[in-house]
Amino acid sequence: MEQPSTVVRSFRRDRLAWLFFVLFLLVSISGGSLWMNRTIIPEGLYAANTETQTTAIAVLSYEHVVEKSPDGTHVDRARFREHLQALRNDGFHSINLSALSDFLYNGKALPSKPVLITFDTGYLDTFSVVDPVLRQEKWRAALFLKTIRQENRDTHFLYWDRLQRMVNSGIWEIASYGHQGTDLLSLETDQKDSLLFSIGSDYEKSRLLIDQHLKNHRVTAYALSTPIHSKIEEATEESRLTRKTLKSSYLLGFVDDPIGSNPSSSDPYHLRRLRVSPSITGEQLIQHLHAAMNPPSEVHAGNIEKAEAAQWLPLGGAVRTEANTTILEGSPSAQIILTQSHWTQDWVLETDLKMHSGQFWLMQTAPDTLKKWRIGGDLSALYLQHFSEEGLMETLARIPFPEKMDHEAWHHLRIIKRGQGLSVEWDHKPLGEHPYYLAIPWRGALQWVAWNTEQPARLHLANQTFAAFRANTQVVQAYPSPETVQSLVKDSRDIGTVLPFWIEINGDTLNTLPMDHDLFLILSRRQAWEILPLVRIKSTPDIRQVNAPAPHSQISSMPSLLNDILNAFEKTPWKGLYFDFSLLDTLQQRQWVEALETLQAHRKDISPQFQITPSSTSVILTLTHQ
Amino acid sequence: MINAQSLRKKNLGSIKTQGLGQNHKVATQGTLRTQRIHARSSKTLSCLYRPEKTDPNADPLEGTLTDLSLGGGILQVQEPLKIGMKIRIKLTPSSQDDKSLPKKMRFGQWVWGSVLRKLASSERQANTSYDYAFSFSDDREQTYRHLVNKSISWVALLSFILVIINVLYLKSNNIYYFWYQPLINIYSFTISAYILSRFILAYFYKPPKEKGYRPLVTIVIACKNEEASIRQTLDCIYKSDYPSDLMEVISVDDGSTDRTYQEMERAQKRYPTLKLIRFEKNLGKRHGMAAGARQASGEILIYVDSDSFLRKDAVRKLVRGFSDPSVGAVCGHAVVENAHKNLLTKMQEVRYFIAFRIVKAAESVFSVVSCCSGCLAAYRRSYVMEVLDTWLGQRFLGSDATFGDDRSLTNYMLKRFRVIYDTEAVCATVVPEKFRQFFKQQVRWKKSWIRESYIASKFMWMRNPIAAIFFYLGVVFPIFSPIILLNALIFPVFGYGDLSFLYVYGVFLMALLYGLFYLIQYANRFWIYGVLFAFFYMFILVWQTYYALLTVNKNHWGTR
Repeated sequence: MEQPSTVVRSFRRDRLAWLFFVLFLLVSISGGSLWMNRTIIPEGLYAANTETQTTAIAVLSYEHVVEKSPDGTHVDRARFREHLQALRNDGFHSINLSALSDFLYNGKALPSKPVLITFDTGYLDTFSVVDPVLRQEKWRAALFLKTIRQENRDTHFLYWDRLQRMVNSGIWEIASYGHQGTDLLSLETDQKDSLLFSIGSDYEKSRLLIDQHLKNHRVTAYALSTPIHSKIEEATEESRLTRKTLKSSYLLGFVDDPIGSNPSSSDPYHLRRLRVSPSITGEQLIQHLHAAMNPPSEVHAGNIEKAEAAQWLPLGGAVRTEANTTILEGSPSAQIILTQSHWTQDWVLETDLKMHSGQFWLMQTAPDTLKKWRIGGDLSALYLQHFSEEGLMETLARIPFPEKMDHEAWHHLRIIKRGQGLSVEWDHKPLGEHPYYLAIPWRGALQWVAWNTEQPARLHLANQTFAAFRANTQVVQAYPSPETVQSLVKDSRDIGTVLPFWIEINGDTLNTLPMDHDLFLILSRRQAWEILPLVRIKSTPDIRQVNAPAPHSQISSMPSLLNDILNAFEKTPWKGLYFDFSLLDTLQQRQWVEALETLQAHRKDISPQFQITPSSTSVILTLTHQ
Repeated sequence: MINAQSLRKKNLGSIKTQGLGQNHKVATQGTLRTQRIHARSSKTLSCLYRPEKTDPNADPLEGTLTDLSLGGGILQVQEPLKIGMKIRIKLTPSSQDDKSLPKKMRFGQWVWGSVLRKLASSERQANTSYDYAFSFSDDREQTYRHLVNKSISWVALLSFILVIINVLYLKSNNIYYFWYQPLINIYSFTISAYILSRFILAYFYKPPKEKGYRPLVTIVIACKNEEASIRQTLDCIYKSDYPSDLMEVISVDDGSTDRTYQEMERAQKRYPTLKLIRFEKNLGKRHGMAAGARQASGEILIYVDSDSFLRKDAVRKLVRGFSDPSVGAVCGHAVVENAHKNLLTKMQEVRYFIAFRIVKAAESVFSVVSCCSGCLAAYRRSYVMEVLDTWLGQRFLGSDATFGDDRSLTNYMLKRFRVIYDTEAVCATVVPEKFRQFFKQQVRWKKSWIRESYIASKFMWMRNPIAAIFFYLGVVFPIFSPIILLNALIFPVFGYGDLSFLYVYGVFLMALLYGLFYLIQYANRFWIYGVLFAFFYMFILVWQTYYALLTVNKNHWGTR
C-alpha cells in the first residue's frame, strides 16, 4: 500500500497568486486606460504658414456616416475616406474650431486651403466608423452634440465615456447642436409661444452639460439646423434676444448652406457648412470647393463682356451636360448652384437659354435669413418675385416677352445686379425702362431651377458666364440739372452709387449745400441707386476751438463738426454718408478716421449708431440698427 | 478540445443507470458495439440458424440461445462456426416472447448476426457442442436509433457551443454599451462570467488519482424516521468493493419515532459488524454525526444520508483523495434515485448533475468546494476531531446552529485544508417529490448558505484570487438577482421603465447551457427539465433568499 504524501499544504501559493493577480490588474487597467485615451494628434495645430493669406475657409458637415449604405442614403466609410483623401491630395489642411476661432477673432494665421470637418448629433457610428478613419488619416474634426441623447443614454448615440476618449485623442472638439435642437419645433402649439426662449435656453443647457461632463474641454461653438436658423432670424425682439443669448455663450455659430465656403471676413456667428451628400464623389467635392472658395473675376461697367465661364454644380434632380450645354430636367425639379456667387453682392450673369417645357427660375437665397428672390417664368413671361416683410412670396414685376418664346430657339439672357437693382436684358435688349428694385441688397448663392408644371420641366443652358460687377460711382451736384439727371439715367445700368455733393469742410468752416432730397429719393427708388450724400473735406480744422458764428457756415472743431454733420444727416432720408478725404494728406486722413471712430464709440448707446467702412481715400458711414 | 467523446471520458460511468434492480445488469465501459448495455434475458431459447453462404433451400440448423439481449447473446450449436462469420437466426415457435429480444425476432423473423468469438463450453456439453458469442447486425431501425443516439450528443455539443458564442456576443454588448446602464451591465456581465467560468473550470477538473491508498474508513449514517430507506442504504454500503476489514459502519438513530431502529437491528443481524447508536430523543443530525465520529476508529469518516444508496466502488473512489494529507474533506457525486417520479424530481435530476459536475467540480479545481453534501461526504477524522466541539456548539445570531451541518463542517475544513470533489464516487439519493417539501428544503439550504457564506467570507479572500473572487460573486448574486428581476420585469408592468426581453433571453441562454450540458452527457430527454428548472429558480426560488435572510436565525428544519 502506498504511503500518503508527506507534502504539507500551505497557502503560500495562493498569496503568490494574489500578488500576480493584483499586478496583472494594475498593468492591464492602467495600460488599457492609457492606450484607450492616447493622444493621436498632440496639442498645437500645425506649422501655419504665416505668409499664407486665407481667403476662405471650407466647412463640411456630415450627418451620419455608416459602415455601409447599400441604398445610398448615408455616407459610408469608404466614401468618407475617399473625401478625406481627395481633400488631402488637393492640398487642403484640416483645422479645428479653436484654430478657426483664433483666426476670426485674433487674426492668427491658418494653413493654406483650410477645411473644417464637422459631424452632427453624435451617432455611435461616428465613433465606430469615423474615428478610426480620422485616426489613420490624422485629421481633425468637430462633433456637434444633441445632448438629450446623452441625457437619455440612448444606445444609438455616443455617451460621455467615448466622447471623453475622443477629446483626449486630440482629434475631436465637441460643440453643441442644442439639447433637443430641432425637436423643439415639434412641441405642442401652446408651448410654441415661448419657443424662441426655449431655443436659447436649450443651447445653454447643452453647453453646460458638455462642459460639465467633459474634462479639459470647453464648448465654443454651436450649429443650427435650418428650421431653427430661420426661426431665430425672424425680425422680432424675441429672435434678437435669442441671438444675443447664443452670442453671449458661444464664440462660433454654424448654419447649413449649399456653399460651405466662408470668406475670411465672415461673421463668426454665421459660418456656413456644406451638408455633404452621400452621392458626391471626392472629385466632385473638390470641384465644388474650388468653385466655392475662389472669388469670381471682376468686371467693371463698360466691359462686362469679359466675365469668365461660370462653374455651376449640380444640386439636385436630373442634371446632365451634353456638348457644353447643361440640361436640367425637372422631376419635380432639377437644380444647379453657382458656388462662387456668394462672394459678391453685385454681379453680372449671362447665359444662352432654351426653355423647352415647365418653368425655370434663377434664384438667390440669403444664407442668414434664408429668404429668397427669384426671376424666371415660363414661355409666356418673366416674373420677378421676392419674400415680403411678412414672409410671403410677392411678385414685384411681370415682364412679358416681346413675343411668345419658341421653345426650340435659343435666347440670350443677361442679368446685372447692383445693390438693390436688377437689370434684365433679353436677347440683348433691356427688359423694362429702368432696373427692377429689390427690397434689400441681396447676397447669397445663385441657383438655376427647372420646375415641372403640367409637363416635365426641361431647361437648356449654355455659354454661362459670371463675374462680380463693379458699378460706377457718380458724383453729382446736390441740386442737379435736368440734363444731368437725364445723363445719369441714360447710364443707369452702370451706376451703382450716386454721391450728391452736400457738405464741404474747409478747416473750421462747414458749408452745407441745399440738396434736392425728393429728386434723389425718386431716383434711388427708380434706378435702384445707392444715394450717399458727399461730405468733402478740403482741410482739417485747427485743434483750438473757434466759437465765432458766421453766415452760411458753422465754425467748429473736428469732433463738434462731425456731430453737427451727423445731426444734420439724421434729418435726411439717407442711410449713409460718403466722406471724401482725397484732398488731404495721409496723416490728416488718419485724424478724420480716428475722430469718426471716437464719435462712434461715444454714440454706442445713443441714436443714431453707425458703422464706418474705410477705403483708401474715403469713408462710408452707414447707419445701423440699434 | 471539447467533444462529446472527451466529455464522456471525463465523466466515467456516464452511462445513465436504470436503477439497481435484480433482473438487469449494467455495463460499464466500451463502445456501443462491443458493450452489452441492454438488459439481458436469463432464459434459454431454442432457435434455428443458417450460416451465410449456405443453400437457402437446405434445412436450417438447430441451436439454443442464452444470455440474450438486444445486442446479442450466446449461441450454442452442434457444428463449429467460423469467427467473424455471418449467420441468420430465428426463434422457434416454442420460444417465448421476451422484451429483451430484438423486435424482429419476437415476430419470428430471421435476423442477421455475426459470430464474435468462441466461448469455453460447459462441462456437460464438452466436445459435443460449441458456444459462440455473437452480436446482432443492426437493422435499419436499430441503425437509425443508434445513429440518432450517437448524434444527439454531437448536436447537443454543437448547440452548446453556439449558445456560448451567443452569450459571448451579448456580453460584448455589455462592455460596448457599459456606461449606458452601468449597474445592469455589471450585473449581466459578471453573472455570465461566473456561470461560464463554472463550465470552463469544470472542464479542467480531474478526479483524484488512484494511488492505492486504503485507510480504515468509518461510514456513519445518522437519521431520524427513515424506516423506508435505511435498509437499502445499509445493504448498498455492505455491497461495497472496499475491503471489509478496512470498513467500519456506524448507524445512528436520532430519536426516531417509527421503526427505523428496528430496521437497523435487523440489518445488524445480516451484517454483524454494524454498530448502532441510539438517541432516546432527537438531538439533531449534527449530534448524530458527532457521536459517530467519536465512536469511529477509522482514519476517514464517510457520512452517508439515510436515503442515499452508494455505488459499489463509491467508498474506494472517495478515499483515494485523502492520499494527499492536505486534503481535509472529499465530496462525492450524487444522482437522483427517484428522477422518473414527476416534474419536480426530473428538474432536480438535472439540477443535481449541474450542481455536482459543474459547480463542485469548478470549486474543486482550486480545492475550495464550499459544501460537501450530506449524501456522500468524507472527512479526515483527525481534522474533524480538532473542531468537533466547536462545530457542535456553533451558534449564529443568538441561536444554535441546527441545520446546515454538512456545509458548516465543510467550512471548518475549508479554513485550513483543501476540500475537493470526486465525480467517480457516486451515490443515488432520494429527493423531495412534493413542492411543499421541496420549498422547505430549499429555505433550509439557503439559510445554511447565508450563515456559512458569511463565515467563509472572512477567510476565503486568502485563497486563490480566482476562487476568492468567484466565491464572493457567488454570495452577491443571489442577493441582487431579485432586484434585477424586479427592475427588468416587474416594475415595467407598473409603468416604470421598459420591459427587458433581453433579461428573459439571457436567463433562457443560461438555462439552455445547463440543459445542453446534461444532454451532451446523457443524451436523454431529461435535459429539457434542466432548462425549466433554471427558469423556475430565476423567477420563483430566487425570492426565497430574502425570506431566508430574514429568518436565518430560526433554527428548525422545516422538512420534518
